[in-house]
Amino acid sequence: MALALRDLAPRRRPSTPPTLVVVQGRRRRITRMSVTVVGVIVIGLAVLGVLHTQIAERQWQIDQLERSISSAHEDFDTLRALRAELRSPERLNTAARELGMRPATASNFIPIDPQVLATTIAQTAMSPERSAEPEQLAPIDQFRLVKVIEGRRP
Amino acid sequence: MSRRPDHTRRDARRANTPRRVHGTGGSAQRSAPAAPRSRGPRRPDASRVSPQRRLRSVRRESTTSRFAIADHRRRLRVMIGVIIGLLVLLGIRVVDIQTGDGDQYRVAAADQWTRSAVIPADRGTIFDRNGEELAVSIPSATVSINPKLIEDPAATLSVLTSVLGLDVDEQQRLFAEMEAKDRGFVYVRRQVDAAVGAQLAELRLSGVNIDDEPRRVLPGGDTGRSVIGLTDIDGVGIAGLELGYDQLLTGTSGSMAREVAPGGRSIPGTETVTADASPGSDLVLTLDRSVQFACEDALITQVSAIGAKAGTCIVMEANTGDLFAMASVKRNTTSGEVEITSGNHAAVDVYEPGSVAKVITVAAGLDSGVVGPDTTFVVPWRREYGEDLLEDSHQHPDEEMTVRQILVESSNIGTIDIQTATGRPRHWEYMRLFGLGETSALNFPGESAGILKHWSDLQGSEQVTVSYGQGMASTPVQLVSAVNVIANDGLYVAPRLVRGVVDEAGAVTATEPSATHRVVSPLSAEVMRDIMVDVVCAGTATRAQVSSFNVAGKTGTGLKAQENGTYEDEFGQRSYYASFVGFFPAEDPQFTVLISIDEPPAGTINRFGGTAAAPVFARLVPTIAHEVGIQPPDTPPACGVGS
Repeated sequence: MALALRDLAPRRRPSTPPTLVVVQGRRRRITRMSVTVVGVIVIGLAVLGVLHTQIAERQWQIDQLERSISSAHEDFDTLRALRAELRSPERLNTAARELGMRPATASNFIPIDPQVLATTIAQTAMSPERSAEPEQLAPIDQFRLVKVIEGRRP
Repeated sequence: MSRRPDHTRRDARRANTPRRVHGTGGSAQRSAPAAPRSRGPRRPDASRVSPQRRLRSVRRESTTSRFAIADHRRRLRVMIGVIIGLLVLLGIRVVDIQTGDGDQYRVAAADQWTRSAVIPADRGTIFDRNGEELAVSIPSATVSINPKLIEDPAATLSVLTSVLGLDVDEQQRLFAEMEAKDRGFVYVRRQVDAAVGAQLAELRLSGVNIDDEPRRVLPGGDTGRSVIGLTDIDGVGIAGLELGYDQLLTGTSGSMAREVAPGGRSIPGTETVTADASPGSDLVLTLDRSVQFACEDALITQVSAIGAKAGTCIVMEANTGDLFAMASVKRNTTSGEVEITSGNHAAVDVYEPGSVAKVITVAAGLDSGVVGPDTTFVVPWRREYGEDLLEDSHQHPDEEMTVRQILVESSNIGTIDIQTATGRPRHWEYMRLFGLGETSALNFPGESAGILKHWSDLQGSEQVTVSYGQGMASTPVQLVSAVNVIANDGLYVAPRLVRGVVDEAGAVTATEPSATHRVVSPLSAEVMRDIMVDVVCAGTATRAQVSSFNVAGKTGTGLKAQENGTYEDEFGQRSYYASFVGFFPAEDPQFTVLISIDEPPAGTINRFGGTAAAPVFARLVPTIAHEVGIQPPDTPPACGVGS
């Protein structure tokens, strides 16, 4: 239940009636502008925070990607060294000897009758180009390709 | 938002009112009179001031007292102004710190919680002419410790030992360092396998650092090692092409920052590259790995078989000067095994070439027109020159020999006669034109210019012995380039080892073709080729014959100068330098090959160029032809094996 309390303090009666004052438009504009500015700043700060978070996240992703590239590059170097080792004449020679093979004591070139060669090509649909090693990039070309791609990195 | 009480608003309105209407006069009369202030004594006597002035004074006093609340608002505004001013100043300072001195503060802050490390640049790869890797840098890890940060030395050492397999000496050394804690950095082991490094890094041991450090390897084993050379453990070239092209192969190191925990341990995942490392350029050599291997294999076999000291093999493309192989092997004095050398003896060491130099003398005589292939000389088996008695390799009666015979039978006395007919100054000029006495265009580290005195400086029998390769010295690469003049229609072509460079963007820049100059006329070269075919067919080099190809060449059996300055040691023993330089196919030379055997056994038949070196040539020719794809000519060879 609400009770109406009387204000016991002596009230001073105004000697003159209150004057109504028209609030000027300029002050209102200032107030509105201040609120707007504060609002813009707050929103700007929030956007800035979000942007910072986004940037940090992207940077983390870039770092991860760079680490992956670096790791892939290391793997590439290791693998091409391994391939070079496997293809090296020294290893092939050792492996061949382990299999019981020996270097030839003599060698000779045997001329092939052009007729026989032509017949063979016709029968097997073989051409000198096709009988050659399957087309593939040489190790140096693969290496150069990787360098070209790396060179394009920003 | 709370509203202001009505009376306050009223007061405020009142307070505002006089200001709004100040100066109009009307309002001042409506306002209540102001309470007198205790400023009486300073007030001027009212009777003495003018009425207008009194009125202004009253107005001022009444306004101050009536609208005291206005002072609060003013103070509030002033305070707000001050705060805004301070904020502006603060903002300016923040901007100043962020922009003007920002870098300085950022660096100072980063120094507290980051550590920088060098990112070693990848050293360039060395390829052979077919793009096969001869030398590459592969990832590896280097393990080091900071003894000051190691909390439990015994446990840390135990882990390191189990992973790295440290021996007792290493363990003792590291334990002493860990206990002493004097130094902040101690290597445990450098350039271990990258997987081992990763395994250790996973353990996150306090005070143990794992850093990337590339390791230089030759994936083809020792093949080409003599030419490629070496790097030290820091990846700096110290021999061979690794040294000669060190600047090109070495890239620019980068830098990396990583955050560290208070204990000094790196925080994984915080590494940031501050400057990218720039890899070095790559070299493409003229060497063919397969031909190089074949040369080394053939040399090792021959040097081992005959018990020689060392051997050299050079395979040169006749018209380009490209070296397809440049091999050096030497017997290990400790183990007795013949091994591929780390030094390039083919470019660095000099020998008196012996009879191979007769090619130059005869070509000079033919080209200068003083002799023809059938010009004859009466040649004794020995003759006295100065204080020395010079002789041929075997005793024979005085006989009339043609120039052709002199070269085929390798007569020293007959060669001196040709030199005499040509004239010593002109002969010397031809030797210079053939490339003797100056370093080749290879510019190989430590390469020798050989020894070729000016003809006027030669004394005694040296004046004539230079005609058959004694009293002067050349490197094997000089010698093969000289004989290649005959194979290349009389045109000297400088030897070349580097074919191109692959830059950072992957583009290949070919090196300049080898410089050439005319030495003898094509006709003289053709006559010489014809004579040199006879050397192989019927002369001293019959063991150089091969099936399917016509071969031309010349043997040499040079005497090696001893430490006492003579050709005999204190026991009266002689040492030989046996060599053979030939080219094939003789009718259209594609390759010139030099084989030299250093110190073949002196007392045996194998001491000669025709017996020690020529068979190696014969063994190599089919391999080279197969690897390079040279088809034999349609006509069968004049004197090949089996022809």
